[in-house]
Amino acid sequence: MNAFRKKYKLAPGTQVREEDFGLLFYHRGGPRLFWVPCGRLLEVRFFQGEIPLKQWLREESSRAPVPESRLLSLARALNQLKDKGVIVEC
Amino acid sequence: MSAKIVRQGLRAPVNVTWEITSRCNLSCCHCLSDSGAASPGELSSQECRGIVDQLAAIKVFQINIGGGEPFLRDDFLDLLSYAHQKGLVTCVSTNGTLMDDGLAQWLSTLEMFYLQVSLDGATAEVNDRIRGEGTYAIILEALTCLACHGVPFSINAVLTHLNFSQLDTLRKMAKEYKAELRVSRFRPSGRGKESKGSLAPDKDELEAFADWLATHDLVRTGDSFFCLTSEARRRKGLDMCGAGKMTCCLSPIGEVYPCAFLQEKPFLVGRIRENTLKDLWNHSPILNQLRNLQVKSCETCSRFENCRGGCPAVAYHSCHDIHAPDPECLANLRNREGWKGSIARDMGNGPARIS
Amino acid sequence: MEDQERNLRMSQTAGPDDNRNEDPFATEEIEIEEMVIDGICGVY
Repeated sequence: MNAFRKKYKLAPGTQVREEDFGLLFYHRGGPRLFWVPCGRLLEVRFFQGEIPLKQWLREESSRAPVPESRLLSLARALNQLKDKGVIVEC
Repeated sequence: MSAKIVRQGLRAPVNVTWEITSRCNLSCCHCLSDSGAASPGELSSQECRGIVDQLAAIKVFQINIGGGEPFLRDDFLDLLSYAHQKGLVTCVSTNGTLMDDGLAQWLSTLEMFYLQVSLDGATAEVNDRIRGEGTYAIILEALTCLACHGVPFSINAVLTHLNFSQLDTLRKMAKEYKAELRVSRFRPSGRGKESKGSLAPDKDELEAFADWLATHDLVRTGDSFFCLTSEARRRKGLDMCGAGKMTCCLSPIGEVYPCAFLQEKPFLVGRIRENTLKDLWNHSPILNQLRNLQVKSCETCSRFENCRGGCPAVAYHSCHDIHAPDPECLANLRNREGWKGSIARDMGNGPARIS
Repeated sequence: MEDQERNLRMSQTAGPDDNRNEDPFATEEIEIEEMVIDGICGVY
């Protein structure tokens, strides 16, 4: 599935909050912290699992243009978080 | 990245140490909080719930609760439940003396909960010298009770000169209970100031402990020995002082300090009865100082990136200056007159040997 | 409000050339840092 069509939710036992650098995830198995320097590209609300990434980036994120390389980097980062059990696809 | 970020300041602590009461039924000679009687004017149940609300609102992830003995508070179980309802993970530090089947059964139902039980020696002879006569037997009963009810827990031992040679035995004991072993650093605060002479590990012991940690990856330290850790153990935490960067401390009467080991007047950040934690966290000059602490004498050291000057609390209690270098960092341990080569001490079976 | 607080935090540590209105991570690769929290020094 195209990475930008995916929707994500927090995995059980995970919390997330917004910071100046982006997002800070806490997973209580460990516990572990995940520092995600995505700036303002993503917000906590994205992880309600209601909006696909592409739509989110188009409608919800900062209106300033974002280089494609950074968008691809974001999609990769989300995939990594999924692989680490921090978020789940929905 | 995280090191740079925390100096700028996170929007809230990642976790908060909360000494929820000064009341304790033991009189451990190294107690960092000088616990015993309840403090006059301890936070009420309602005030405690208000604090939980604040922590949840600013998205603190975890509360590490101690005291005193937290289970002595009549409302403690209600407060735990309330914190969990609000989405906060709790880690409780207990002396184990109040553990019984009913309590263990209830704790076993909790999901957002960690427990650490203090045990400062593998034998009654060692443990009871610190925690009081008869405590070893009571603590072991508590560990058995917790294990029977399937409550996950860790055994926490403060590293002292007395238990240094028992670390392997403590590790085995923890394994038998299916628990983790956590060894934390002795800091001369509270009653620890007076007991430092008899309890603080000496430099040889600390250096040998650093070697031992490097080969016992599963032993936790709460990151308290970050200034001794080898490269292999890095990434088990922030690897530097977390005070003001990722954590702060709440006292039983609602005073806020940078950390549990700096509960001294010069480091009083504020009072939760007068200001919100959010305001204190964002605007405190004391916390900002801790975030950007410069230990000039350490900056040219080859290990500076590993420890950034070590523990300011130990520096303060040793030298009355948080800008002083940590006297127990690995570089300082080795940089002493007459030291030549490395010293390896057999951790359980005999005198020191030189390698 | 959060931007004000962010500026306050950055003003406490910013150098003379820092531009507080730029997103400091805007041009960087999004590299996740994972930290196993054995603990945070300063906590019990």
